[in-house]
Amino acid sequence: MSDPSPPSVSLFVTCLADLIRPSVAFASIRLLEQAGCIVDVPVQQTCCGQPGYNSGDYESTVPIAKKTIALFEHAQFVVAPSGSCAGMLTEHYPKLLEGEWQERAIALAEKTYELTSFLADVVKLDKAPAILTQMPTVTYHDSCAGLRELGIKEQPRKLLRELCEVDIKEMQQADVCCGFGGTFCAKMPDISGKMVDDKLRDAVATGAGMITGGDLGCLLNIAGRARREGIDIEVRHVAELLSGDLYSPAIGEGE
Amino acid sequence: MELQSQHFREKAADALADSAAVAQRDKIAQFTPIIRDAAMQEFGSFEALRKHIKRIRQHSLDNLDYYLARFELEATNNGNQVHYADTPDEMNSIVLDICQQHGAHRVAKGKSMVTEETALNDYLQRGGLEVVETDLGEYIIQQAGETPSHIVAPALHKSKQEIRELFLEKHALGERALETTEDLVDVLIICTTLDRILPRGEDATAMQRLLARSTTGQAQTSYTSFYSGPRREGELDGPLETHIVLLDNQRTDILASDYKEMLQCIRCGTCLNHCPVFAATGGHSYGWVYSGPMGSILTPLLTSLETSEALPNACTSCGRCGEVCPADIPLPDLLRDLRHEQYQQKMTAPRWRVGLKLHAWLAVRPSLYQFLTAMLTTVLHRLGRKKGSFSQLPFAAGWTSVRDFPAPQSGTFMQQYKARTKADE
Repeated sequence: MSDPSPPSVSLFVTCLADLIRPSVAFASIRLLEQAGCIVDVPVQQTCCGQPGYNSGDYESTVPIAKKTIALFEHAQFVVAPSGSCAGMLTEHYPKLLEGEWQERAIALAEKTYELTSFLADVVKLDKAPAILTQMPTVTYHDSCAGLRELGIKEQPRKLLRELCEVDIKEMQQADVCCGFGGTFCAKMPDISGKMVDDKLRDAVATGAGMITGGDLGCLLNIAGRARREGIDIEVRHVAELLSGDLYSPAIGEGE
Repeated sequence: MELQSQHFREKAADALADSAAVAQRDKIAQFTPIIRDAAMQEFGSFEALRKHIKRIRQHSLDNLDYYLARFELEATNNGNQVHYADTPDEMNSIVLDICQQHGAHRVAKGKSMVTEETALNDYLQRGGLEVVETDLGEYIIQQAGETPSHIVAPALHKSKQEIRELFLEKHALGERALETTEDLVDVLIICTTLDRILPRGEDATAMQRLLARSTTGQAQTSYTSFYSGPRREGELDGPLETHIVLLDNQRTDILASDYKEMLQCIRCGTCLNHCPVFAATGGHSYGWVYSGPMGSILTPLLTSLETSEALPNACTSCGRCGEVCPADIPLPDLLRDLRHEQYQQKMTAPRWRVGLKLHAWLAVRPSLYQFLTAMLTTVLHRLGRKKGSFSQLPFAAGWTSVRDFPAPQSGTFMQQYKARTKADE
């Protein structure tokens, strides 16, 4: 029997991890390497185009989608630490594009994964890169696109429990939107504020010291509102927890 | 019903300021998905049946000309009189004419969103008729002089206490509030839209199976009426004369448009029950008959995309409505398509258009994008590292009006990654 060659992964960093929280992307690389993958990062990548697409500017999103496809279509696997960006590549590029580009979008979609589903379902990661002695009790927020477009629900929980022995306290309505919604949160801040308050109320009620999840957009929204309201709960991306990175300040916290 | 959708933002802000109403909406929003899930779990074949319903609805819509002609023929053979109305006003005047021909003074009215769409009650009242709603929810809001806040549960916004006070005010103690039912009338008028024709009776019952379960978690509604036509010889009850008024009001246009799938809607209200924006704002904020996700699509299509500009934007694209829709309508996609149309017609606010265009322009120019984002995040990191977040930021007022903006870490990922790769070489 021949030794299978290690899976090769191109990381789709996502713009929010790139600009606001690079530690999420570095954690993703550590996790993928722990799972035996060879990871490369195409350095010409920028953003998947969701802000314009979801605001109705389909025409400007087309060149972004084509650029991303051209940059990633040679990969064996494409992995993103975000359900909404992975969903943009897998669910929306094929709808947005036509003809030959649509075929290329579908081919890319077939090998694109969100990070925790790739780790749990495809490469079956069974050991965390670092074992932390002081893992906090966490509550998990299911981000909408990951949950409903990609069916991500059990994978991050399984990884947290089995690899890191994290105690997860489930909150009420964990699967209800936190009010981020991309540009929605800035277009309708009052409604968004009410939604994120509900999310924080349910999270705090669990008694967990930390909220985690798989999408930085939601986590920035939740952390930002917690800071504004003086609610003492840490917010971190699930990749940071899984890779053992609890050292950098949590989202929205000072050094 | 008067269109107020242009005031969505103000109405939503008012709705959020009423803490008792917010608490009631929160409870309902938690409760309705639970009873729906329980009913579906017991039922067991949601996915299969919704695919079936979708096929039936699409088939009937694709062949509407055939089925409409056949419906008219069979309904007429059964003794019904079939009327067609292009506009709301036409429908209202057909109904008033029938009432006047029979010298009616009083109309016992069943629950109907189509007649809310045409404001039939006002029209008949102006024509000198007394209109009594016979559905309890509709009766409550009629007594209160309000409009429905939910297509299935029109008085959902009212608390038990409010309803109690209303009834004590409107009725002497012991008086029967509801005197009529639609089964006891001599002349029955059915108002509906022409897109609702189904090929077979069992298609209606298939829909019925998912409709009640999706909305209220019940296997069936308390009562469901099937009418075939006027009372026949030897029958003990039933109306002596029946009319069916089929309203178009934009349906033919929708059928020919990219929003055709919206006509699959069976008016169950499940998308309302699962929409977090609807839960936050309540139905009245939407400013017209239909609210929640289906309303945010139908209102622009039936009225004006410009007037109801806010509605397709009152959506986080969370996808929950599409997940539970028993007619399998891609509601999040249709909402996004309406935003696309708004963008094309330049209804999107100029500052958003400029911002999005600039972002898209930069996103396909990686070197410039990375240069500028590195500069920006360096500045923000330096200013925000101590406190960890910003309570105010220029160009991000929408974000910072309700939440802090978390400060970026030191250097973008691309900066750090390129520096590391270089060091490794």
